[in-house]
This record gives sequence, C-alpha cells and structure tokens, in this order.
Amino acid sequence: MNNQKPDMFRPALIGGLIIGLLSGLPVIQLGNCFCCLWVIAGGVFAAYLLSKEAKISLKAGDGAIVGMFAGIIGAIISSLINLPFRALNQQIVARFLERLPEYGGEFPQDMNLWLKRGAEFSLPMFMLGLVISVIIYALFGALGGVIGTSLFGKKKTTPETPPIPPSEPTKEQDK
Amino acid sequence: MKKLIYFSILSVTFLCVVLIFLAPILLHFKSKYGFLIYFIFSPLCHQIPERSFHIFGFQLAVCSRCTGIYLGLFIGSIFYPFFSSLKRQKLPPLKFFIFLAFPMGIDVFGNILNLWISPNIIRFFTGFIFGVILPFYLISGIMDLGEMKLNFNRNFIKAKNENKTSNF
Repeated sequence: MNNQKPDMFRPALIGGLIIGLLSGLPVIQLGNCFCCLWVIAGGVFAAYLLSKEAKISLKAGDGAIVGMFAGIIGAIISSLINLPFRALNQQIVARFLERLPEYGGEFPQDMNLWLKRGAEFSLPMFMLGLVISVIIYALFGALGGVIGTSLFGKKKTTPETPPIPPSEPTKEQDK
Repeated sequence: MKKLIYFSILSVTFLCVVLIFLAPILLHFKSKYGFLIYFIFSPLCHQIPERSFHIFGFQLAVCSRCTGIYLGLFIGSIFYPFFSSLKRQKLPPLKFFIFLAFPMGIDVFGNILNLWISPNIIRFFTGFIFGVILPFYLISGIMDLGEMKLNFNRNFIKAKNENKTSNF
C-alpha cells in the first residue's frame, strides 16, 4: 500500500494561478474585498486537489502549507497582472480622493499629493505592495488550505483485513 | 514552539485590531501614517465609507463587516486554548463552520441580490460570528505545520548522525 503523501507543487501552483488571476483582474478582484475571498477559495481548491491525489487523510499542516504556497504564488501573479491595469486603478483612487472630503472632514494639505503619488508606478511602492500582499495572501491562503483540509481531507479508511494464517495442508493436498 | 506560534498569531490579530482603530485616530491628529494603514488594508477591504464605522469623523481602516471579522479573529484567538488543546490540534467539526459562516453568507447574498440592505451593526455581528471560528483553523494549521517542520528537522539530524556512525 502506498502511504506516501502526494507532491504539493502542482496543487499549490494551480491554486496560486487561480488566486492570481481572480485577484489581479479588475472588477473580479473586488471579490477579495470580502475577507480575501479569492485567496481563501484558492487555498481551499489547492487543498482539494491535494486531497484528491492523497491516498491517506491529510493533516491540518498539509492544508496550511499547500494553501500558504498557493497564496505566495497568487500574490506574485496578481501583482504582475495588476501592472497593466494601473491606469484604471488610478482612476479609482482619483474617485476615492474626490469623495474623501465628504466623509473625512479636513485633511493636511499634502495628503492628496501623497495619495496620488501612491497611485503612480514606482518600484519601491510596487515592492512594498508585493511584500504586504505576499504576507497577507500566505496567511489567508493557509487559512483556506486548512479549511479545505477539514472539508475534503478525510479519507474513508477501509478496515484492514486480518492476515490469513497459513493453512495446514489437508489430507487431500497431501495426496 | 506551540506557545510561541499561538502568541505570535494572537499578537498579529491584536495588531490588526489596533491598526484598524488607529487609522482614523492618526488622521484626526493629522498624521500621514493613517493613510499608510488605509493602504495596507486596501487589498483586503473595499473601505466604502457608508459601510464603515467612524471615529472622530473618519472611517475605520476597514468596513464594518471586516471590523467584525478581525475582532472575531482576535477574540477567537484568546479563547482558543480554552476550547482546543495547544498540545494536540484538532480541527472543529464541519457543522460548526457552516453554522457560524451561515449568517454572514445569507447576509452577503441578500445584499448582493438587493433583497435587503443590512445596517452596519448587522454586518459587524455576522462578520464577528464568522471571524470567531477562523482561529480554530488557522492556529491548528500553523501549529501542525510547525510540528511537521520539527519532525523533519529531527529526522534530518537522526539521518545525519546515522550516516556519521556508519562512516566510522
């Protein structure tokens, strides 16, 4: 019987691709506003793929690690996909800036400039965003992976058949 | 090791709650760092002002539902050792997860389908109920991961020692 745990790379990669695509594309990425929905979903999916390949029950740690890697891969992919859509994001930030005074009262004079600068591309801001995303996505991916393990990780174990004792040769066999 | 993992997660959840409430306070005192907190939480929450609680006239760093989730995460983390052993991790039964996630799921779909518009306090409480169950998965998973790493290290050292003795 093969009790080896399956390779985690493929489930983590597929889970990461799903996270990256859903979190990177405009409009669809808004699903992440709901407690990192796509990241958790990607972690759950990675754990599901892992459980499909596994022949034994998965532990919480297995789900956590596959979800964590899926989250890290997803963060990198989504950050790269986000790059061409920066102009669109800038418009969203501009709209956000227009609405801020309605709710926020008075702001220091250079706040708008500071926020606008954040919307433009700069390597340090990109790297800061990437690092923050990797940490957050890894955490929520691990959470999704553990939830996925509890949903799909248990395998029905068939009771092992007791070993058949060596039968004594019958009289007929002796003949 | 397990205590370290538990207290690290507890600290992180506490830090999240503090940051959420700190952002509007910093803006009130005209500090730029308030915006950095909004920036950190922006990938995680839509931050729509109408759907957020306000302090000193400024919205919290996340919406009311996310505030509930993060507060639930923190409270759940505090109560984790009382309901689940730190020595032996066990994931909560699936029915608990469904039962606690159900109110938020219903509320979210009702709002998406425009069947009703929930007030912020309902969003907060449904998020809070969901958030309370999450540490029981997160802490168990990361502790189990830590245990797996420890076992791997032990086996690695054991194999190394065996190799050394066989070489002699």
